[in-house]
Amino acid sequence: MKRLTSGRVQVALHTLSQREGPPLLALHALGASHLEFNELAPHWPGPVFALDFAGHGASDVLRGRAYSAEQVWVMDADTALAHIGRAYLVGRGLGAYVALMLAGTRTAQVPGALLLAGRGLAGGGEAPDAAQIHADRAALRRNLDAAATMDAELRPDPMVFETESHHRPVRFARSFAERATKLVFGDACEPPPPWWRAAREVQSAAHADDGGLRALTQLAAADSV
Amino acid sequence: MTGSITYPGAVAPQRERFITSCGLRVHVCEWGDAAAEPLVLTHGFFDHARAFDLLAPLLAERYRVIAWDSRGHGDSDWADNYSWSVDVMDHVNLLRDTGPALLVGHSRGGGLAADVTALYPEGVRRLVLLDGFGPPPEGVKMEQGRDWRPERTPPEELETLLDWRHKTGEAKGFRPRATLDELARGRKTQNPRLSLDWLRYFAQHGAKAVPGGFTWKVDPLAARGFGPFTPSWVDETMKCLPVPVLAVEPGEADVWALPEPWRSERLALAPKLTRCTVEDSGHFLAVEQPVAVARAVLDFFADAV
Repeated sequence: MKRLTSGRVQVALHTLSQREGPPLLALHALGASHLEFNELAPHWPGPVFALDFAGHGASDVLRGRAYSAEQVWVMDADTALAHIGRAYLVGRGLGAYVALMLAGTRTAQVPGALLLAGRGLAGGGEAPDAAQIHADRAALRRNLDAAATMDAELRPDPMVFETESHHRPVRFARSFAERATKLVFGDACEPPPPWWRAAREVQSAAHADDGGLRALTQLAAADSV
Repeated sequence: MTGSITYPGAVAPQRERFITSCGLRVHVCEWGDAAAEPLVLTHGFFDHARAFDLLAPLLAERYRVIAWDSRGHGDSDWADNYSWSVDVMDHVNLLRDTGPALLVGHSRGGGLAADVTALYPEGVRRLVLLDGFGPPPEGVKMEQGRDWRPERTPPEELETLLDWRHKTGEAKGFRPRATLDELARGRKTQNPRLSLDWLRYFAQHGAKAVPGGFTWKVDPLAARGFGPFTPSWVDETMKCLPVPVLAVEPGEADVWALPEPWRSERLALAPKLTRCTVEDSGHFLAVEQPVAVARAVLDFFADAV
């Protein structure tokens, strides 16, 4: 396990397997950790690295506890990517959303990304409206209780779940999907969130079938020829 | 802090303390009778609580006036990251400390107070927005004479942010200036309507001594946000404000003010709205015309039950 500096904190990057081949960076679901990729690692034809996002696993909690997929966790993933070099991504839930953003931003470094369902996939929906604001009132109370739980050793930090009310508009997700080199979509939860459907539509010509890890592996094999 | 620079009408807080929110220390200033009804003042972006030193004493004749520094600003702690929703939580934690209150928010602080009103209505009795009506749909025009910022795609913005954050994650603060006067003069280029005398007073409380001179207390990281926010989201908050709202608008054009027609369109969404204009003032109403603003606020709150 390596500790990498990401912004003002340190995050943990774990090596799950070390075989020769194209590297894979695994990004876990909200509230999970690198451990959820232990079973996947043997099926990938190269080294597998798995990150613990800030507030999770062996990574630091944030002072002030203001977590954000767009400002914090994508930076953690970018830090790991800079350490590994060019790599394929697999992301589950929150990690899928982060993988989409990173694949659409560091296009030369990410030849392909596999997006899988899991906790933290939907966020707080498309945009605020009366119904959403009503739901956010209840969420605020839960978040205030979570914020009152102060234990620097506790993982995940209960405040990471505050991000479940952060909105994820279609146009925002689409802008990353349009730039990403290749995206592969696993089975989404039902119904899939709007951002996921929009991103999948953008790349549907390349990947009409949801092949999951096999499709990403085939992509990597074709890439290395 | 009591400093050597004075300004006519400016009164230092009678009490200062910290509350804890999400593990951070949040700095709170108070004026007036501690047993009176609470009235909370929320400052704007890159501002601080002591910017209310002119308005607060005028309101303190009737209320327990509470001004606070947002995280990363003034004397509140810096954080490892900043997000709007956790800034809202800080404001709510303050209201849980004070009990239900009358809210006044300036600029970004108006947006924050409006969101708090929509999300935590049991803590808010009435709301005053001092030119805090959210950004225009095209974004903020940064300087006089400069074009609207060209639109960049989210991936382009994110790439810039990531590169910047990898370099400045450990940033200790803005580049120091030799004197407070130099800081004040720099600020005047951004806020040309404010007098140098006021900005020197403002800098005395908003800056700290560091090797090489003085620097603003504000965290540079608090200036750099990224996410899917669009100004139309403010409209949804306006529609959901359950309490009477007073919009205090500047009589003069100001680069930081929300221009028409967006201002009227957005304000019209609030169900219980009163509008009032303060003449001979730009965006910094509480500094430029504290007496007129105090009168408007006191009148509006006078019949709150």
